[in-house]
Amino acid sequence: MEVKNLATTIFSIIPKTEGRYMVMVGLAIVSVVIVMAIFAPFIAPYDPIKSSGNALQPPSLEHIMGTDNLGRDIFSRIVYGSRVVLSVVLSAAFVSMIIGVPLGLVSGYYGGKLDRALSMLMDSMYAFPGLILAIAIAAVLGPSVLNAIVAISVVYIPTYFRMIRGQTLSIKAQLFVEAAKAIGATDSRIMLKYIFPNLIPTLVVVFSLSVADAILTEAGLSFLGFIVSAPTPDWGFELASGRPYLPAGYWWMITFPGLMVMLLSLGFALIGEGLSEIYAPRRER
Amino acid sequence: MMLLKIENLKTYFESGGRVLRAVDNVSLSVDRGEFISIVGESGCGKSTLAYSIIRLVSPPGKIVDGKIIFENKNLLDLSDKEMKKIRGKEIGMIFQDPMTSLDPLEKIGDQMIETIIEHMKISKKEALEIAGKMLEKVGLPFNRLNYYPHQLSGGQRQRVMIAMAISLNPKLLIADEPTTALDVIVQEKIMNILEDMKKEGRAIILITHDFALASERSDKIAVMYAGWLVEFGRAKDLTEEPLHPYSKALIDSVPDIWMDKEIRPIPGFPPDLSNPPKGCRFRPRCPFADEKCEREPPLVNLENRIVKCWHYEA
Amino acid sequence: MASLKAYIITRSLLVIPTILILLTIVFFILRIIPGDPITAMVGQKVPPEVLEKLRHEVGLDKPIYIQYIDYLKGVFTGNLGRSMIWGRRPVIEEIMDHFPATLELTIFGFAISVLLGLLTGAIAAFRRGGKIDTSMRIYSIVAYTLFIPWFGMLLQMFFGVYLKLLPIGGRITPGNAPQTITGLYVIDSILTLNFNALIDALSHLVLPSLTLGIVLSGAYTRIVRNNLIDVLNQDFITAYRARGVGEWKVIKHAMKNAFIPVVTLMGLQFAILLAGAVLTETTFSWPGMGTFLIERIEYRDYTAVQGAIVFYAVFVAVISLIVDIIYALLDPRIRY
Repeated sequence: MEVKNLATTIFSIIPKTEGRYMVMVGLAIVSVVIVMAIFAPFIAPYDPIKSSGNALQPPSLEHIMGTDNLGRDIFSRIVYGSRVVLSVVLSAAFVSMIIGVPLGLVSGYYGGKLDRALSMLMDSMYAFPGLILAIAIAAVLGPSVLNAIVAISVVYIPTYFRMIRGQTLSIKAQLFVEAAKAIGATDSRIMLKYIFPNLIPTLVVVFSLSVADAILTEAGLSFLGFIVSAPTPDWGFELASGRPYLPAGYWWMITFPGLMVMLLSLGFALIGEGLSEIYAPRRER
Repeated sequence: MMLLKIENLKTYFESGGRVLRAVDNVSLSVDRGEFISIVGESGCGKSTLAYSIIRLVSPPGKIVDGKIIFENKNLLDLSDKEMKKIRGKEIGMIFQDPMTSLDPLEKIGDQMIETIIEHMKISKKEALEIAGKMLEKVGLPFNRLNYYPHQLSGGQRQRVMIAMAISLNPKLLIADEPTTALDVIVQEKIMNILEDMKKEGRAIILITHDFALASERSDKIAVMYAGWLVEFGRAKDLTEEPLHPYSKALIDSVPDIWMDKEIRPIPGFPPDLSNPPKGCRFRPRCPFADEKCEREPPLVNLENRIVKCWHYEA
Repeated sequence: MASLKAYIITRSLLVIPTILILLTIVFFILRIIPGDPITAMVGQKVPPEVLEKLRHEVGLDKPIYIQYIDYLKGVFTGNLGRSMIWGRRPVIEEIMDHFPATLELTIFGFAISVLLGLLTGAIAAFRRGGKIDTSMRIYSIVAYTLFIPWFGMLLQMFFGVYLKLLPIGGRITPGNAPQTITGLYVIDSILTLNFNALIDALSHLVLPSLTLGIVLSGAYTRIVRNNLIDVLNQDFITAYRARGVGEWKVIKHAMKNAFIPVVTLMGLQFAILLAGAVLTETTFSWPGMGTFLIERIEYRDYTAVQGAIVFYAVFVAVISLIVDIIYALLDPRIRY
């Protein structure tokens, strides 16, 4: 009941563009998964790493998503897997932001040689396939959740850098920044009080979209075995485990984990796309 | 001899439940070889009127009523195919912004040839010759045919536009603010070319917000305001003796270096075309307005003049 | 056209710093682990003399700046060292064995993604504001959030397992490979008139390229749509119509103009294409660079892994150069 009221209130506040539907749907999906992750022990019906039934059972009333090759409940594994996915992706996003945003801001603001050098470095990294970079780092460091966070955060630093730098450049050119300089504001004050607040809308959009992408990167790394090892549940890894059983027709081991990856990524993507639509509505004509 | 007769034309834009009456019941006529100007502020509907004539109003705009009779045919009755034959061949159009009205990816020559071949079954070589002659007419050298639009200046591009517009020898040329994006000296050159076109027997409709420009060159002037035609008559007469308060105000707002005239801008703003004032649309800004003006004024047909006002005698 | 040559030369020179930066990044990534890569790769149980020998072979006993110079020299002469496992073949040869497979998959995937993107973008542009426009947009977002292994496996299940219509893995039925001329089975089988091999190769290509192509098409839809709408609103389009030019010709001109910014996007998308290819290859057991990379990581083949990543870096830089040149060819405003 309260959720419905809350939703309606938020809905009416947001400007009337197509984007708000996207944001609402995206938020709904993401919230469900976050709840799933936080309250995993209460939501998952079984222990995810212990067998709770016969192996390779199709979805049924006892196991709504079926069981895997070791008799473990797939739904429970998915619920607990959300913890791995979210913690890796959100931590990585956080690290990327902490490094990429200040670098982009400073580089865009000061310009000059520092800017040129950094831009060249970041552009080269941006041009390189993200997943392959992550694989290289994860391969060298060894498979683990922590190393995955490092690998994925490196991949997205250039994204934040570029976007923030671009926005900084355009904000810098506006008159109010000139005015601030004229009254003698220091550089750091200008950056913090004048430029940074105007970066927030872009930052939120970039965050949502790059998290959406990072989820796919994490799933890819996990699928290739670079994050977790048995018996820890992680969605991408589940897909790899279920793969040998595919030709025999055991579809449920693959379908549900893959669907979750897509849904979570879609959720963040909808938020990002919806928000960017709200800030800059799509022209009809 | 009448070439074009617009009767009670209504072009409306419908969007999100609101109706914008851009051209609201406008009637006017143009004879062969006649040069008329349609003058008015931005947003008064004059450009929409021009686009309506060749039926290229962009959606959500639509011609909802009226007749456009060109050489005894109602253009609004023609099929798309038939209308396409008219465009370019019988009626040519020159656009406002020379920077954006040419395809940046095609050479000038190719664009001109494409138009010519579309309407006439001749070889590329022959079309190229025609294109060259047209360039000559507007004072450009033949080699410009090999240039891309971005290699020419604004004035040169506008001349190319004119050359393209006349390459099939249309009887009517519509020029939508052709000189607005150009400097005064180039403006003069372009206007001279237009006059040459008229001398060759073509009718010209010039759309402009520059009253001075209109009064210099045209045979007749039509004044538009908020979607209405408010005055129409011979240029000399109208300029010396304007009957509609808006025309008077327009003339008064134009600087004149010969006379020690006080420049008086028109107070207020043009109305919202989706919600115009009731009665006379000029009423809020008119110095002569009274209670009579709360009703829509009639279109008064005087000798050689049409006025849409209750107080034209003032 | 002299200015075109000048542009190509200038642009080509710019590739070098980009490649250098990438190579340096790769170099440092592969040496950042504490301890040394040989031990990490080979394990503790090997006697120290053998470890020393291996270290010496790979050059890890030299000071770091000498390693760096040797490494760069190696890359620019095409010498990527020798594999550390099995036959100890030169890495560059092993890469060349696997590269054509990736190239073929990438080309087909790319073609599908561009075609789908153009189609959906154009449909959305011509029906803008309506339900069809919105559904194209939904298509675009759903497409790019599809998880490649998942989508690929769904296709495998449906077409391979249930319908038994298409093969679910591999590049060709063993023994059916055409004579090697380019390494691309489709071209080779056409050149040698081996239609058996052609059908076989194509049937193996369908699912992987569809997987890759559909997922990548999502990014193009929106750009094509927006560019097309912008172009259609331009004065010169109305000017074409005002001259009576036929509607199909107008559309052709509009598409040409709208397409150019898409080319830039294609350059950026290429990296994503390669990354996606890694997942596609693994899902479909496609014997390309991606499979090679993963396999050699598993076997701790240090030089091969380094070689593969270096190859990717150079490949991406070269492709972006080619894309820029194509862009210059298409847009006369750059050249003159």
